[in-house]
Amino acid sequence: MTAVDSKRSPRFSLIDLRAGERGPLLIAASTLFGLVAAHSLLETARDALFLGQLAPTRLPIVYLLVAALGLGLTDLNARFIRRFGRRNALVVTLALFALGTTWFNFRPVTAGLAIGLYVWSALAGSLSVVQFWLFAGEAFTSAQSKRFFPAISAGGVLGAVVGSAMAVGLLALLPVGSLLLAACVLALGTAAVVAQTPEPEPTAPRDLSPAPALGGSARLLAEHGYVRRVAILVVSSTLAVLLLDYLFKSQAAARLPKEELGPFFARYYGALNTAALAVQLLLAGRILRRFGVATALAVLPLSLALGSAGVLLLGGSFLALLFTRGADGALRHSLHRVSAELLYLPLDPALRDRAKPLIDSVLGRSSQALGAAALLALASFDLATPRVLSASVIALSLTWVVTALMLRRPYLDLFRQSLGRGVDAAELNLDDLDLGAAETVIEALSSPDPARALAAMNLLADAKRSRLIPALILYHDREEVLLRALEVVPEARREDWVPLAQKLLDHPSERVVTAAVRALGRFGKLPQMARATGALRAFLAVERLSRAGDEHPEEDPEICRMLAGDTPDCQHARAALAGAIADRKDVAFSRLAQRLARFEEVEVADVAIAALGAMGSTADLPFLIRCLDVPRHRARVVQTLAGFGDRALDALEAALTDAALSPRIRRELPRAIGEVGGERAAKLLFDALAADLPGLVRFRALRALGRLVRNEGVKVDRPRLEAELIRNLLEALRFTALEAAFDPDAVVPDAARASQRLLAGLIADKQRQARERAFRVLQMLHKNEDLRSVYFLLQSDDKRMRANALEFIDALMLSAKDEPRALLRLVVDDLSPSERVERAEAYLQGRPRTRHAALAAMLGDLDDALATLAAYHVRAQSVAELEEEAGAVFSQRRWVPLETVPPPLVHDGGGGG
Amino acid sequence: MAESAQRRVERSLFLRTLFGGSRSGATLERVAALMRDVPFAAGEVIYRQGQASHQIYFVVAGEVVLGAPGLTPWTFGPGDGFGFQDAMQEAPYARTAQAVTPVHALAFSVEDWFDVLEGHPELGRGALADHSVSVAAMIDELGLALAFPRAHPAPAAAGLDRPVGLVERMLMLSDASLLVRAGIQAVAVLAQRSRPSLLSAGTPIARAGEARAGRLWFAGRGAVELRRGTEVGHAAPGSLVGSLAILARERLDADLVAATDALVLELSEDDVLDVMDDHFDLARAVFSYMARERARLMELRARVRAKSA
Repeated sequence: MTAVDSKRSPRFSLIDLRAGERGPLLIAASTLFGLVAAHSLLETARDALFLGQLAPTRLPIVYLLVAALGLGLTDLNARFIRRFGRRNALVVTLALFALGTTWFNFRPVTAGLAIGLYVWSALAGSLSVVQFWLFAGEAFTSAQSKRFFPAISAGGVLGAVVGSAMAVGLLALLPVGSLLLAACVLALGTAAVVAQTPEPEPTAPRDLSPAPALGGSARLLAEHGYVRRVAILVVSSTLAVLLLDYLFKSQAAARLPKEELGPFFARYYGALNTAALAVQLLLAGRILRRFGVATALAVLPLSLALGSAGVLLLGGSFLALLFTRGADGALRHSLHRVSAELLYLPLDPALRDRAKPLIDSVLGRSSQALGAAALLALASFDLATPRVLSASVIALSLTWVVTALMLRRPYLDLFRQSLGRGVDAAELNLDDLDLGAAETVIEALSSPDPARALAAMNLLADAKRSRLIPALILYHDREEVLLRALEVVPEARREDWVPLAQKLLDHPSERVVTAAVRALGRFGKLPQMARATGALRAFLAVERLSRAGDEHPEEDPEICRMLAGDTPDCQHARAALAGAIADRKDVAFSRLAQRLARFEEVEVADVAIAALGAMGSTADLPFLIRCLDVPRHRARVVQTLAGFGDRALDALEAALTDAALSPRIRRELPRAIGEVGGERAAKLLFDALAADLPGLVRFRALRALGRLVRNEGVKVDRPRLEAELIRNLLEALRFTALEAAFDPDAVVPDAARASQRLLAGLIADKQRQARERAFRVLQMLHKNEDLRSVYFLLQSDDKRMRANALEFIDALMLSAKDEPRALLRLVVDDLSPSERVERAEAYLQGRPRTRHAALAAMLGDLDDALATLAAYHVRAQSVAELEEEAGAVFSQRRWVPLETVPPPLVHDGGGGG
Repeated sequence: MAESAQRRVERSLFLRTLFGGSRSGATLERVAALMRDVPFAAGEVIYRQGQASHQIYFVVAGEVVLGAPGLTPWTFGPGDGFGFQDAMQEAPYARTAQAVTPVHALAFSVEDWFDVLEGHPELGRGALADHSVSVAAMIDELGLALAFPRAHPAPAAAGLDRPVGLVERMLMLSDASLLVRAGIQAVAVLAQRSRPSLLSAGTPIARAGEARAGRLWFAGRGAVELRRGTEVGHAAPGSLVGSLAILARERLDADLVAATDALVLELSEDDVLDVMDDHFDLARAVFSYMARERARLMELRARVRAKSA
């Protein structure tokens, strides 16, 4: 039990009930109560009558009959449900149950009647139960189902207990036939209850098409792996239970006088049902929550396997058999039933409608037929002995266990699929391109639309396939295409571009000439030029100064002229200068590059920043970091810093904690660290999460870390991440407690309404942010899951999608530690703020319980915005007791102070501002 | 396999052509990977008015018409996106979309779009820049009076002698049409960075031809006018003066003048974009506003064109 569990109020320890859910739950539970009670009575009567009239060796014949008739009814049942709806189908079935049972009551008891009654009770019972669970499956969401099914099943088990008790009581005074009448009354009463409930809204349009034929059923199994596994589970469990049931009844018939069989079964089933009720109420829900559906399903077969081993080893001991059958009785209609129903939850409703009747009825019946045939065969060879049968039960139970455990992953996968959006985002990999695709790209290069030609060039450049770009692109008539071509086409391994680039030295556009000079100069292909353009002069100047080993090129007179001039020629020269420096990669030009990086001309600054990166001198790192202050340079700076790799991390780490740097710069550092990438960067970001840094810096560190984990798969420090997860979940709960105590809907004086609205909005924001951050951390802990989808779906208006998201989270967190699992559940569950706070009491020691206390807590909050707004609200509402604290906030906090003097009024003609 | 690689390349080329070279190739590849090709036959209904707007579409080839009773139809061709307006506003589709000719479109889930935006803020900035250019063009076509009609007479700003404190600024910004869906946290940061100006009636805020220098103005109290020659447009309290089209103007093309005594909040474009990066609710609010603004102007333009045709 977790700390939360132990401190929850009693009403939560058995059933997790929310507002408005009591009525539907009671109706569902009482329906199953009546249904199972009626069936219990009928079951007791039929077993007593059958074994009183016939030998146990006749049981397999009955099983076969039940299976054969059941198969035929399955299709009819599916069509009936589709046509008339689930509720009406159940009502009619219960009414027919009552009618048929009454008819049997008034017939003379013969062997034929005994067989007929056995078949009737088995068919009516299983049909009505299937219909009931289909009805319940649609009436409740998956989250409600998980909470309610144990309680509903408890209603069923209670029905079995009461039915058995009634059977014991009635049999003490009346003949066996009285049980039939009692069953009939219960069935009619249950039908009346069901008839009062509204038909559940279908989650998908009702499918009125004919039920799939047998071939369709086979295809269903072939196409859906999950359905196939559930089918295997049902087949192995049906066979195991059938064989055990035969073994138990045959041994009971062999050891007890006929007249004692009725009372024996009544008492035995009564004891089993009581045990089942205890399991249902006290254990089933806990086992499901703690271990999940798949593990819960393994409990019963494991018990049967162990019990049957006891029977085998003890030479067919009846006591061991009683206990084994007892385990079956205690668990099958409680824990196992609930778990089996939950297996269908992740299926799409339309698929569920097809799969459930197929598996429960068709395959269940077929398995019974198979089991019955096997029993007949064994009996005919005198092999239906306790030893053979218990060994068979062991083998089948082990198959059952393994199948159950293998359902965990597919169960989760189905929920995952139901939550997914969009397609699998596989990036384009040009290595995968075939000839056709390559032709498409190359054809696009010749497009008359310059944007398309550029797109094709960029695509090939990004894929490092620039060699596929023909040099003839340098004949293009559009400037933007030529500029880009001159960047990506020239490379040392090619010569084809050189003459075409040389022709561009006479282009009318100075920008093209500059780009051509740069490209040719980079590869030493610059010819003598008649015209000394600014670009040429810049390139030649850089060549000259670099060859001379000049350590202060920024002081060269020609360079100074280029920097100072305002003419278009000088502007082109500066752009060319930056490009030439970038290509030269001579660190002597570092100071000059820094000067160019400060120019307003974006083209110049951009290339200069890239030049600093190309030079790769760590001495430039502090300058580059300061460039993060300028928004238009940020993307380039981040890219340049990333180019330094780990060498940049020392400078970035120091900058993170440098309070002298502007907040604007510090905010950008996590992204830059993330772009550097690698394990060390991840560690820096991790450390930033826990460091004493502004909230926004820590948030950006979290985001950058998330990107690193997703894109590079860096190793995560799980304990630290789990601690961060818990921290954010607790923060979300803290704000929920604040919201609940503050009561945003409270009536306040007019003067305080505005600040009330803002404060309530800020608290809601902070809750949302804390939840979002928790999910970012959770995403890092489960990097192969799409938790972003889950996060959004938890806020969806569609209650079924919310429920599916909740179930997915539950299943995902099964292997997590208790505390984060419990906290996550508290934060994401569908609860009102006050309910959430009540359930989270153990984690909210000292929480504010009144509005006054909430305001006091906010005034003392570390967040300046929250404290300042709270102080405003205190003043607006004239809360005298908190006036001193509010004053302290205004005088001490760094957030926008209260302005006491209005700004001057500006008139036309100047003044003010 | 061959078809799928070719399809992917076509999608990538289409997006790179549409969004231009300013977006990173890796970002556009991520967007391309999240899209799927959807063909529609001529006459086929793509979505109906009133359906939930989960999908956004781009027309690769063909023609699509969006219509609703009482509204002038809008036509979209290759390179145009549709479904955005409603998806960004998280509202049901306001019109029925139908293929006029056989259509090849790319479909994209709106949540995937927001996912990508959050991870790649430069994409959002690019979308904002594109939107402002297209809206500016529509405004130029319509004229200031039509584009910015006077909704109702705005009262003059009262209480000009009171401090314009934090709460008041937050209230103004949180009620602004651009920020009405933004979280309070984002609004609080913007309020903190805003600069209030109190102006008497007739005082210019900024003049035509002046460098905008990344400034944005919100009409807080009172009314503001945009004046260009004889054209006059109005900015009511709570509106972004000049709407998002102002982002496309390096130099102002109209005088911004206080029509009454007014309180105006000035913000820098960089501050707004910065806050958008950290508060995605603000980005969603801005995109929602973009969608509303675009829909309003497209409807106006369609009516004007229909009248003059």
